[in-house]
Amino acid sequence: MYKVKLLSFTLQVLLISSVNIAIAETLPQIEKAGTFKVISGSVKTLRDSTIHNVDIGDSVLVGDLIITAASSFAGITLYDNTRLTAGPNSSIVINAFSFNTTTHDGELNAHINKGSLAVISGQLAKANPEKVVFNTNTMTVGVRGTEFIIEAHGE
Amino acid sequence: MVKIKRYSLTVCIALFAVSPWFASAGSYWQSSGTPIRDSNGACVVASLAKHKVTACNPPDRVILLPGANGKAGAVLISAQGITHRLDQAYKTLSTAPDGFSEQSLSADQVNREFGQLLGALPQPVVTFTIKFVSGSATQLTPAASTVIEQLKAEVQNRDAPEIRLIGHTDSVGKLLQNDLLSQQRAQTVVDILKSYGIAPEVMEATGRGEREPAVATADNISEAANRRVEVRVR
Repeated sequence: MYKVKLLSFTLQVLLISSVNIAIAETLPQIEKAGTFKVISGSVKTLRDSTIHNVDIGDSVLVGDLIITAASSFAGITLYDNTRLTAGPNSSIVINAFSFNTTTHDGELNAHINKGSLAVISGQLAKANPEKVVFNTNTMTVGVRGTEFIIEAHGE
Repeated sequence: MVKIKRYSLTVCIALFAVSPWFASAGSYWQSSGTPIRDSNGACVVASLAKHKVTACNPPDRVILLPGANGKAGAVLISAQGITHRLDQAYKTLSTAPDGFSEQSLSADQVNREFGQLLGALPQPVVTFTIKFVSGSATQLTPAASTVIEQLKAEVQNRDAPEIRLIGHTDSVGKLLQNDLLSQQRAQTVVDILKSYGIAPEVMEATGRGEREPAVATADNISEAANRRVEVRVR
């Protein structure tokens, strides 16, 4: 019993260090979710196991891990007009995003590993609020059309 | 991945819980996987198998803000099987060992702490409506030239602008002809913006024919308000 627990403890330590990479790698990389509109300081994405520097105008793809350095900010507008800003020292994954401009169907799921994220919800949350979800390691936030900030302290 | 990780975190905390060292520290924990804190609520740091591990984290927190109209919407926050609704501006909800803790901040406190974060939000989407002469795919109404100027200025003032153009018609004529006419109207505005040096790659034009009138009418009714291209600048 003890051995099993120790093994899972080791597993946990390994997972903590690799969880971000794993999330980015196991999701499809093709869909464009939005665009970086505001970049202040140093912002990078982890995409296809590669770190990219981000400039204003670059695309945000489904599966991207967005990483901001100290004193850095990243402002993003998604296709459904959801507006997001990641604050300093943040690590955020866009797990899922789709949006039909005609029916306003789709989904948005983002995970805040650590840091802060300001959100002004868009057309998706208006039409299908139950399809818009933000997670941290300890909580799940469902959106009912609103502005809010999520802070997560990660591991 | 996240689910597996959460599971192993729970197991990990269970391991701390059975440790005699831990029990003697006068600490508490929750079997649900809540962070472990000492009697003062401070995080306990444990050393195990060469790894130094912080057994708990500062709380995660959600801060609800007033919307553009001054009224707050609502968020539903779930943790440890409990769901809490937050629906007043400047209320905050933090994870705590025994569930949630709700607090109120003032507008000043939020501005001090998060002013920079909120200042880095992208600009809101702005919509322009360009009206057309009856039956024409290319002729704008006289008033439309002012709107075109405003639209051009808005696009040029933005970082990485993206433009969605949706053409519409009134209900005069056949449905499919109007679908085509509405697409041509959207294309006319694309061509005007291109002539100002705005890159075609950032524009996305579609037509909705008479299917989405600004003013609802019976069929075959001439209605100036419905002969339009809606342009959303993101």
